[in-house]
Amino acid sequence: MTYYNKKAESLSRDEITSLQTEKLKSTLKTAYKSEFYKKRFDKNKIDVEEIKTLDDLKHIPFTTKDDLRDSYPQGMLAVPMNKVVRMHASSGTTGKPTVIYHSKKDLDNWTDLVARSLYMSGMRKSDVFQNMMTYGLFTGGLGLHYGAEKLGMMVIPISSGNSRRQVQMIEDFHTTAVHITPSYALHLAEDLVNYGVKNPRDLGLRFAVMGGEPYSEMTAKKIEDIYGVHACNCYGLSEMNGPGVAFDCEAKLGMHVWEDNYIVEIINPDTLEHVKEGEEGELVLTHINREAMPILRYRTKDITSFIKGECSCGRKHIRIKRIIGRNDDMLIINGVNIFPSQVEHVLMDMPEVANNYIIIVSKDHYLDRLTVKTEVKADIFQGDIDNLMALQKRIEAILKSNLLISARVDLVEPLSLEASTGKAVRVIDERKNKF
Amino acid sequence: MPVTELSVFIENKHGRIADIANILGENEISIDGFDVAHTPNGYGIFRLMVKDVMKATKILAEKGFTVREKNVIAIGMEHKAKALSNILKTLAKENININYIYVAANNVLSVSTSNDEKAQKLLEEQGCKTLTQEDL
Repeated sequence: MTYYNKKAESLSRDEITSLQTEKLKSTLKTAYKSEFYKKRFDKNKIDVEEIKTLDDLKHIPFTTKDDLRDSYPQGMLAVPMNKVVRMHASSGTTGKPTVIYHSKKDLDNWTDLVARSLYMSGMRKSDVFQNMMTYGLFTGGLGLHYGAEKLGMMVIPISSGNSRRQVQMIEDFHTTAVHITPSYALHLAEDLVNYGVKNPRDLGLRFAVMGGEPYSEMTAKKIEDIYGVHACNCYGLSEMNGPGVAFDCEAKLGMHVWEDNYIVEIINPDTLEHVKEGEEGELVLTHINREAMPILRYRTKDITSFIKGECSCGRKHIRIKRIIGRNDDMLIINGVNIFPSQVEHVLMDMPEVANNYIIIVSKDHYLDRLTVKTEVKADIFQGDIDNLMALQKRIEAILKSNLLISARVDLVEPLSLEASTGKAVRVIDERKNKF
Repeated sequence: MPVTELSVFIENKHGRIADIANILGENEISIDGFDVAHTPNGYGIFRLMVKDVMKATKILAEKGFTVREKNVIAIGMEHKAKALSNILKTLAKENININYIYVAANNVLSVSTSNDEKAQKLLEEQGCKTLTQEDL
């Protein structure tokens, strides 16, 4: 067995526990420097000196996405701004994004996690890594980029989209590993023939690192079969850095969570108690290796369960099952997170739009499509099509700039949605059970 | 004098135009002409010509339709070669653009242009027979 970071990856259970205990104590002290946690600890009469064991963690309240939003933009920052070297942001539940800050040290740690994750899945410095995830505020682009570079692979920072160019790069630079969403991998497989590739296996890919959206074991197997690759399941969320929180090892029997950086809990979302071993529940993570912005007991809303027993790879870092869904209304559309409330926020800000709308998510072959049907107010209709189309295009443009993905907007007659569906139904996800 | 037509905002779904035709039919209103403009985004406009505009507007609005009245030029066209081309040439020569155009019952041509007033005058000068609501 070889490791990328031997010291961290070969920790025993006892070593993990004592390391976590030490790091938890220091993390609490760091967190207390932030406006948000100072207020929260004081209010709940939490003395950070009194937290001595991992079991004491239960005295710390959970942190939620709403907390992040409410403390926007700097409430959770625990270091002076001049120590921050990067920020990332993800979709908030309303118009405001949630922002995560990183110091130089934080980025080094994150990069190490990604590098060891890729190594653990089987990639080596001789591989060529084509990063087909969107760069920018999302963490999927830069997070994997720096980790793959650190590992020593040549990285092609092509970002998402433009299949013709993706294929050309794979062929010309002999890409062996891709970072891709499962839906795009399936879409590309059908599209390849248009670029002169008869069999996806002819591309010579060896690894497909896939994350950004939940997918089934069957989908992973299908992609492995089509391309002749190892599918590597990658889990992460921007609040906890991004990709590299948990990753498949070569055994591919669950993802190891890097416990030298995260304390992992799974709770029953109703009782907020820990689930019994092996039961499904909501993943809760505490980042114990970040100085700029520690986040304690973060409710990820992702549903998973622990896998019992030791992994054949020898690593003692705990394993979780493939994420099977979420316990909130977040939609994942081609790897991008969208909350219905973001759409509502945009629509309700436009005077021409009436109160009712429906969000429809469907599959066009393998890619997700977002359609927003919205009622317009009667008085904007002047009897010609031009001003309707102008309004439709304007809504599409504003949605695109807010959601960062394209939505098709269908205008419908005033009061027609209320009559046909009732107000309660806002989201129709036609993809259910189809991935 | 121009003719008034109705524009109804419609969602592109089964039976929507049938609904309009049924409602008007039940109220003894005859449709003298119609046209549909549609977009790829599931909505469009159903335009129609009727004699009693006020009654039709009221009935459709009561049934929840979004209706607007709009003026168009109505021309009684002769059914012979060059009839249409003469009309269009007259407008084109004066740089008048056509927003939309359709044929209604009894060879009536309905035209909405960038300048209806000027268009109607030019057409009349060319000997075209323009119609009023009562002529429909």
